Amino acid sequence: MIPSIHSAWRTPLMTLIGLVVVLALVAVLGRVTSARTLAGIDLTGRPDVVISLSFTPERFHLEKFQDVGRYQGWSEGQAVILSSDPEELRGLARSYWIGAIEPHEVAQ
Amino acid sequence: MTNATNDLSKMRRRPMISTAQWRGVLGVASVLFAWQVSVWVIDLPAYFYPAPRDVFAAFIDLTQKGILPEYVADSAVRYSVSVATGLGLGLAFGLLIGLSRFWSRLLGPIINFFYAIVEVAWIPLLVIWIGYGFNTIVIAIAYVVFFPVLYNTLTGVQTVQHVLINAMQTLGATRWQVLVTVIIPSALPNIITGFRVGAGFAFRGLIFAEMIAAGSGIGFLIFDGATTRQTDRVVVGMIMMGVMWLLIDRLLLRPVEQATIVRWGLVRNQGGN
Repeated sequence: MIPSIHSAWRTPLMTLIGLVVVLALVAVLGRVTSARTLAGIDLTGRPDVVISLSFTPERFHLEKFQDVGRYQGWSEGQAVILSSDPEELRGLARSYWIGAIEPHEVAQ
Repeated sequence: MTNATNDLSKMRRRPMISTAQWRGVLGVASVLFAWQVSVWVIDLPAYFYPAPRDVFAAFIDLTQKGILPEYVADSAVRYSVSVATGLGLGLAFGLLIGLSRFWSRLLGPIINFFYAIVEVAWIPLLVIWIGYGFNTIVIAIAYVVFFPVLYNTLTGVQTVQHVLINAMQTLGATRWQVLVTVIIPSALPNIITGFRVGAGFAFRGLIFAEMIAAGSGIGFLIFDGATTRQTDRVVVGMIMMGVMWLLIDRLLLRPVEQATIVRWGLVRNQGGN
């Protein structure tokens, strides 16, 4: 008797399909969020940016900032990153824990 | 019409949550209650013995900061790639050694020798050779999966009924056709058993490897939490480990087992769900 593969493999198959759908949704949502978060940033060069967070960054976040560019420091809920890589910045902007990303303006 | 009505009434009668699930929920609630009571009774500082409330707060904090989802994803990716690699290699070598006397004599003693060397012994060497991170962990975990799959495949191949192979050959089947239509299907229950055992070992190995050779993942969360005295995070990591394993077991391993060895009557389905 040949076993019915269709019904027996339903749970693992549905799990994998569900996982793929969730990952695709997260990717699409991340792209939309990234575009919105970086709306005010000129990404043609290597921009200096200020990243706002609602919490004090930990090692996890500092490593992310260092991947993006030269991390200048943290004060009053904001991290300053100089000469940031646009691609890395787009990737970071997909993260839901990022509050806002704005251009860094140096006081004259 | 009558059948459709019966089906509908059965669906209506079936409760949303089964008795077994209610018992599971009750078990978890009892453990949480006993834990909270022990916190009140023992009355130790939170960093020494965190309460369920502290652990829940740490879970929310780690999630809000984006740490936990990324660590879980990192661990899941490492685990999936490692298990797939170990399964593929174990299967290939198991078939090779099982089907060829030459390869069996050539590789058998070496593989038997390496079987005794646990992955933990390899990790420091791998770190020196490859460095910290993904590749080291994948190699170490694939190594863990490799041996159970290999030995179970070997057993499966060696216990194939020769009368079936002879019958196929008499009918003019090629070696490839014998492999695909007789040997692999006959060995499949053993292969699945090896896969299940290897997948379980791999999960434990993953956590250990991440403690030593990674800067992210659930294993790293536990290790980092312990070194910074954030025991609530350690417990979050431990709970996530358990939850991840339950999901892997319930949604992947057990259904695969059901679809193969239990279904074909080689083992009996165990009691409970």
